[in-house]
Amino acid sequence: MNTESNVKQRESSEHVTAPRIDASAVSKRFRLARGARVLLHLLRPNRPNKSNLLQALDGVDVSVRPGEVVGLIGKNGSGKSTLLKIIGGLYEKDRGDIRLSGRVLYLSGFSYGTNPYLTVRANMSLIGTVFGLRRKEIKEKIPEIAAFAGLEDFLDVEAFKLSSGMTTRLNVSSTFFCMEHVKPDILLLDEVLSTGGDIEFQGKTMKKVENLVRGGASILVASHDLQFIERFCHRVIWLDRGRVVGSGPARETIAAYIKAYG
Amino acid sequence: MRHSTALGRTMRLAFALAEARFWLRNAGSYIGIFWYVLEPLVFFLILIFLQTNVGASSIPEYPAYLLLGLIMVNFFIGATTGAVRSMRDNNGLIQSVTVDTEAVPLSAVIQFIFSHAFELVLFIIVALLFHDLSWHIIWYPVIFSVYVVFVSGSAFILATLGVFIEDLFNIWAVASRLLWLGTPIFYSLSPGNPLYVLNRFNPLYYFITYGRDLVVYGVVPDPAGMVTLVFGSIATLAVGVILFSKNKRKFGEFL
Repeated sequence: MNTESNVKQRESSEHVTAPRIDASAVSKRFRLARGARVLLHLLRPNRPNKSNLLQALDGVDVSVRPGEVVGLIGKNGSGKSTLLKIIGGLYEKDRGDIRLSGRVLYLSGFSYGTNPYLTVRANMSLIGTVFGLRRKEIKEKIPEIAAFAGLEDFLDVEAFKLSSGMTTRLNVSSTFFCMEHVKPDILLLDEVLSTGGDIEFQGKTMKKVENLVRGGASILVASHDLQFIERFCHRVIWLDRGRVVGSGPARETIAAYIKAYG
Repeated sequence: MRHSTALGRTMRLAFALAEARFWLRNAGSYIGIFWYVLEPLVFFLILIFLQTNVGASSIPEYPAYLLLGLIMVNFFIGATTGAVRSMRDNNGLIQSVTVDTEAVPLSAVIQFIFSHAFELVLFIIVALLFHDLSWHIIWYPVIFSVYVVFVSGSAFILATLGVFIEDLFNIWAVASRLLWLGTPIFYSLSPGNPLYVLNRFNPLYYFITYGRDLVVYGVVPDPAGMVTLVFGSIATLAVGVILFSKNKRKFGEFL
């Protein structure tokens, strides 16, 4: 297995090139009221109702250069996912400027594409299509994915007949193989580091994660797994209530975070 | 080039989602996908029974007239009803991974293109049995292609509104029932009828009228009307795509 120093050994020249993610002063407020309360607000638009608003991000700056891995840490509700979703184009920002160069892939969790009533093969195919693979490419990948997941004998079995561990292996393996194939320039990972599965499978997936991290993409990763963040990230940004409260080398920033809440 | 790649990706995902839903809709049932045929067939038989026993209709080639109207309106209602909920039904996918979200409402349309193909086979069999089939059926894909453009536009509009208005699914369920009854599927309309006036604003009326003229009666539709239908359908699609694109970054917050 590659060590922390191996993973972090990048050409320093890479880090002086223009950032692939360049976000400055990004702010976002969520309106909490829905349904009838929204209707009421629309009928009385001049009546301010600040209690309905949640400031999720407040002037956040982030930049990630090619090949750089930047970690996002912070308590639940600190704005990590919101920031990733805004950069990934899933949410609209209220204010700020975001410049991206290259193909962006946002990923949160692994159970987005599987359907229990489809076979393992059909699920792999569907996940491949979600990642933009062509039918032929998926067909070629399926034996490889099945072997990695240890599901070669279950390809034509409906997913609901699998154990939860096998379902995890199906989702995680398909996702990693497709991500490798797509080779995004910008990878936004939201709490996807705890892959689950047995020890052997976790070891295999960790190697996949390392390959992904060393693949040259600009990676912004949000996680509560501080060990992983410290091991793989060049820099860490610590968010609290939508603001950046700490930023710098992984070890120091994590130490400060632990000191504050530990 | 970049746009064609993005379009290709969107269409591949739309097909894959539609294919999965098409097979899954009747998963576990004894007759599986044949429900797609059985459902309109039962409706058709009930309406034929009512027509022959309750009110005799003077509509020529009534079985073909009825079944074509039935399956064309079914296609619109099925695809648009699927589209209204499509973004909510695929919430897990939309919120978890970068995808071309346009594929989601399109998949609802494609799913019902698949089922329409089955219904069309049923139509041909019934029309043959009643000697109502004209060779003009070869022109049906032309009318249907324009119809798909219109339905896709409607699907984009409804999918967008469905994200922001949770009640739209129930509203659309009622509206589509009214549309089903108000569109001359099992009856015909004469100019003096108040429903005829209302139907002049109903796009489905023109699609099924032109479809019947062409396929059942072998009459070429009025060119001016056909041109209006083509441009109207393209305009509906353009409005739908623009509305969807302008709002898609807001979907994540509302789903």
